[in-house]
Amino acid sequence: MSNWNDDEALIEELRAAVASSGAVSEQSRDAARAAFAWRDVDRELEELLSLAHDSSVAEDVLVRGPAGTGTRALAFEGADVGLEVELTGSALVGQVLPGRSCRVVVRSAAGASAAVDVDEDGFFTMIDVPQGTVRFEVALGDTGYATEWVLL
Amino acid sequence: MYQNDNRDPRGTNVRSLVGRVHPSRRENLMDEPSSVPDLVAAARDGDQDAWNAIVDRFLPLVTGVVARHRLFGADAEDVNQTVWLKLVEHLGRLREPEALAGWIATTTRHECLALMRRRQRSSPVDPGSYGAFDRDPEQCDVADDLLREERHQALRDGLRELPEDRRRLLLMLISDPPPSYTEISRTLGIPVGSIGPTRARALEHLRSTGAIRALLTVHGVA
Repeated sequence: MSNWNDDEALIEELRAAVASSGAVSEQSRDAARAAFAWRDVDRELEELLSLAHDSSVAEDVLVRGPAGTGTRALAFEGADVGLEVELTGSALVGQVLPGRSCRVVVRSAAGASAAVDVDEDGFFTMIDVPQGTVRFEVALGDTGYATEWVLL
Repeated sequence: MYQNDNRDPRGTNVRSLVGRVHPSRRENLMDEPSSVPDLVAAARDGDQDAWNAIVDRFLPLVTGVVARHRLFGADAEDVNQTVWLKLVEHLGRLREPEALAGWIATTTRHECLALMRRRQRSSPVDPGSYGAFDRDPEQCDVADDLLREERHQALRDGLRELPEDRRRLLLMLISDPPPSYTEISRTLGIPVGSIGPTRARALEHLRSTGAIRALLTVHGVA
């Protein structure tokens, strides 16, 4: 750390700090402001499925092994519902846990969405998954679950 | 475990406060500052102006951390959007709103590393074609860079905490090109002879602001 006890050093870093705050893109600002529209006022905490595993950030050396296998595994967990998906390119296979028939929607923050029916064992496949920042929504009876946002 | 109360515990009407201060303008360093916990409380209640103020305040931090990872263009925009969506999602569960800068820096770094690892894995043939892989993201100079982004954020936040006269003096002193003491004296209405001592007091005040103290505590310096 540079020495903030020194007046000149502090002034210098203050100058850099204020200068660098001007280097943001308007596109970034617009996207950040627009994110607020996704505020889920009514969603209860127990209806949010958290990312419990992402093979692309796993620290395991074996998982990091040969590059280019191209498949990414994600697992989301909630209080009583789970969701596992494996993505290869823009195709995915997934399972709702515990297995039961329902409907899954993949929704991107850019506005694209794709829906698929889930069979009685909880399995589903999708061949044209929206890209970018997405979340998975699971409709089970009257209850709507949603995963946290994930960048595909 | 989670704080999930939407009301501001002090009962102040944050919405009107935020609305009065900057109805539609972008927040800048000369505005009357709202505290981060106040902004977070108002945003939890659905106040878009408060959210915009949070964005304006912390967007440079997100942009800075992303740039330190050598992510640009569409990748940078993807990470940026993901971080803000995650913050919207977490607004009601932030346990320490005053530590928001740390949460944002950590989340941004995490998303950058995840994206870079995916890119690295899916393009094993020609890693050199992608600038981000010229260097190991976890090597220590990047860590130093990230700490610098947090330091800069703390300095900007600390500046907001200063009384207006001291804030204006410091902003004049760091402007480019630097104005003469005569100009500063004329603009701020203080004698030339007291600019030096006032500058010293303003810097001392800056060191003692909550934002700077919080950063030094987090990094174990204080």
